[in-house]
Amino acid sequence: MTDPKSDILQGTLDLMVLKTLEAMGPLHGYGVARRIEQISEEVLQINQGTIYASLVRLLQRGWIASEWGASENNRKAKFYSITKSGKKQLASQTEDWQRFAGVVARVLELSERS
Amino acid sequence: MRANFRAFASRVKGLFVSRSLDTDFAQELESHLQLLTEENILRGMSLDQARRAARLKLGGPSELRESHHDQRTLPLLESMQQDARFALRMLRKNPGFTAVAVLTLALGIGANTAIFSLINAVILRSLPVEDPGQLVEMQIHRQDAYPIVTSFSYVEYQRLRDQNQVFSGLITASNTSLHFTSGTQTEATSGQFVSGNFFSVLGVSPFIGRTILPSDDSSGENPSVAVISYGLWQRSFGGDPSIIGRQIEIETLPFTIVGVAAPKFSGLQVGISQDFWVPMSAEPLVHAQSWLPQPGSHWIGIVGRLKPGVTSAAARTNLGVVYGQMVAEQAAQMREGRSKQIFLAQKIDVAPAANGLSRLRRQFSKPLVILMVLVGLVLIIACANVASLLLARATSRRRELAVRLALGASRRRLMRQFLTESLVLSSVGGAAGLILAFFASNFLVRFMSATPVPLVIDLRPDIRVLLFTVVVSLLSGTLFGIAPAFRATQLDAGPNLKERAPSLTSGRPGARLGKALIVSQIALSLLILVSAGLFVGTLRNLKTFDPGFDSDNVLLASVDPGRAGYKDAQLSGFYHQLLDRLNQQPGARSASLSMVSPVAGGGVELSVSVEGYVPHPDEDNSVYVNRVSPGYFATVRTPLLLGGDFRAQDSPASPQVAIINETMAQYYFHGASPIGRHVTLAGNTPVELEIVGVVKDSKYINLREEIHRTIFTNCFQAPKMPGSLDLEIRTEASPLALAPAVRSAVAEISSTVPVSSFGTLDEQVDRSITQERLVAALSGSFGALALLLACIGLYGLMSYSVGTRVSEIGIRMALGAERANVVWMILRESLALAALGVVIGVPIALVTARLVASEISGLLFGLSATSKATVVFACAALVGSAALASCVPAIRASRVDPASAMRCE
Repeated sequence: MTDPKSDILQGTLDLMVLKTLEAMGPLHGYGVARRIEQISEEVLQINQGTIYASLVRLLQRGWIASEWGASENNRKAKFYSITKSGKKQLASQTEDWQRFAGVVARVLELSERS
Repeated sequence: MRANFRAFASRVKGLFVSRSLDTDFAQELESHLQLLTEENILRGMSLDQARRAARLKLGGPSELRESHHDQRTLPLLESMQQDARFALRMLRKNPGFTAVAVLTLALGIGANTAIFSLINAVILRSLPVEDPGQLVEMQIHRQDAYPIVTSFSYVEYQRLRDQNQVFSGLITASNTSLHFTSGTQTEATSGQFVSGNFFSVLGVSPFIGRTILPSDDSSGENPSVAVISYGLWQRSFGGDPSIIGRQIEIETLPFTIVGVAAPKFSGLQVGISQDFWVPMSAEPLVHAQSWLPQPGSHWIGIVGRLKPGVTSAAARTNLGVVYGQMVAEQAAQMREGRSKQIFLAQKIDVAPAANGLSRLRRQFSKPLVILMVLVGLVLIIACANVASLLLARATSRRRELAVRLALGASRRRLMRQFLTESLVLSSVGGAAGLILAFFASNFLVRFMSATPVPLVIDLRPDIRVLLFTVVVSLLSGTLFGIAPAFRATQLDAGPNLKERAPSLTSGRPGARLGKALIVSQIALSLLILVSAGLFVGTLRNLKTFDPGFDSDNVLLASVDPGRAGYKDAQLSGFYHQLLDRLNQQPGARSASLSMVSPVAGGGVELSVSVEGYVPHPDEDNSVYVNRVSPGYFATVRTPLLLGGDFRAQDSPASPQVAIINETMAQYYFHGASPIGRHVTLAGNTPVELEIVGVVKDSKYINLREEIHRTIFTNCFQAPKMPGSLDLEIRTEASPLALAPAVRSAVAEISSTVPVSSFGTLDEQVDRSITQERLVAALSGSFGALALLLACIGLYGLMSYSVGTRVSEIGIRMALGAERANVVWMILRESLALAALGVVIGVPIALVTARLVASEISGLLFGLSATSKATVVFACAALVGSAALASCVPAIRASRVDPASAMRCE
């Protein structure tokens, strides 16, 4: 259905969202998006709406949970938090990602040398 | 994997709460926007700027909402829902089309479901007992007129039970119809004598109380206990739980009800609902002379439960040894000859009994399978009809489709829409069909129920029937939907957006597909018509064939003075008195008695020796025997060819006389007069008889049999007067109207003599050909239905074709074509289609007939499976109907006014 490039990107975004929730505790959608932008030092300018697609995916797999609460400006907002199985998933995906990044880096070095 | 499943589950859940999810998300987005806006204001933007920037950053809210909705639910299913709703709307908008299509499908699917319900109930359904797969029924295979016998003597049962090594339990049961009295109500009820282990081996538990136990069936115990069925308990006792211990009477003997059987259990026999069970050891109480110790009385059925791991083949081998010994022992006392050889050659076998024992299955399984095939073909024809309708409709929807294509709908999307419409149509048809089937199959059971004991078949649709209907509906929906869907979506948006002028040619691919459908419908109809012709022809042959007696206006009954205690001379006195009274009865022409009435389905066969005739050692010298009173031949109108009838003064003391049939006279006397010759009938007390007459051949057991040599003796000369006899009365008018008079005539002689089984000889003849009547009636209706559907299809196609060719016809007429020419032009076109269908159908029908000839020859009578007359008749019926169906469009075409037709152009 979708091309593999966007699959990789989706997976990356999901991973970042999970990590953010693990590090920061419960956050609303705006908070997650803002946090990812800050961490990436504004390099990664995401269309903030896409964060919700990622949140739904994670919710449906049971890796995060959601709950209504009040935002900083006292508005009704939905807060997301990582679940136990989400933490497990994060650990294994982090490992996968690092291995993958390592492989990509090595391949790129290789082609530079030749 | 689990995470994926969870995701799917949450999407399914999302379907049901999609609306609240949507509003939740809208709120969430709103609050996100606010937060972004506030952030932007802090950065120093104006409120407007901040809002715009926030919206840019977040993305379009309506797109987000839409993709969020799709993500949280199942968009495919949702759009299918929409398709289905749209389809329903389209169907409502075209009530005419919908009614015709749904009716066609309901008939097709309903007929299929009805036949399948019967197959399910009679052939497929398992008995409600423990592990039915282990049950087998004992059978004897013989090499004479009765190839499979399932009745045994009790002595044989005991030997098999005690000497086999393959069964964990062997049970026996004998059907019986006994008078059952509770309180003041007496009814003839079917029940069974059963062995003590019957319920425990079957694993049937009592609903209340207890079942029959082995201890009930052992000597020294009181055998007068009965278990009643749940049905009888509800029907006659209103489900009263205090029934246990209640005294009832069976044949005026006191019995105690000890239990009610489990609700679903009504015996082992499909079609016969048993109402009570009593121990085998109670049989001597009920029958004056017990059958239990008699090796010659074959009256019980035997069913065994195989030990785990034992195969049918192993059981056959083991039983073969035990049974072989028994046969050899009995044969040792027999005279050498053909009958001894037949006796020695009989073999025991086991047949699976998981679905119950069934005379019904043996009788109806082949006809039912044939009917299933025929009705399946009818459904295909019905589908072709609906497909034609859809094709025509697709053409009229061209503009709508073109608009949708132009607006960007994919072809796949449109096809899905079309298929959904077909499936909605077939589901509605299927649902209607299911209702239709319920009534139809109940009607069929009443039709099949031609025995005096009513057939009880549970036709409530079970999961298998429902599944069948669903699958058949979906399959037909796909079958008739797929071609029109392809055709309809195969078009360019451009030219079809314009109002198209009717084309002058009819050779477009759509028309070709329609024609192909018609041709295949006609070919299939031919197949059904030929089969219907064969079965209807069989029935006609059986009906018009002279059975050797006249069945009109004959009342039948049976009297049982033996049960009232009459013996020997008293019996003959009673019979004489009864005949005298009945012969004087106004409305009765004549009355007679016989051991069996014509084609009652059974009889007696004895071996005969003829004075002066030396039989070959291997020769079959058996003859059918009937004991009849004087006046029997006059009553049933079997003509006497030679000699005279029995005389009223014949008595046991006077010389024993006999009347033989033509076949017997021809066989033993080769045209010489048999009058005055002597024959001796074998039996316990062989008697020498003098032949005093020859009668015309007549059918004895059933209408289909070959005439066998038959000998009639005078029942008043029998060495032992029979305790019960059949009564035949030829009446002046409606036979059954005389039944009360017969009842009171018997009552005037004795109030205790039972008289029962009132019926007419016509009914008895019909009963003897129940299977043929069922198959003929059903295949005939299926044939008519197929013909009707094919004609409707052809009519539709020709009307449509005439409609699109109005201007062409107008031009032809303007150029001088006569009306007759136009009529012929249209007729020729449809006859060409019919002829093509026939040309394709005839070889298929003939090849099929040859292939199944050996299978169905047993179902035919007086014609062969490849009967030419039948094929010719079917072709003529088809072509004739085709011409009739296209007459209306042809005449309409000839009424076209050239001027206005051409102005239209």
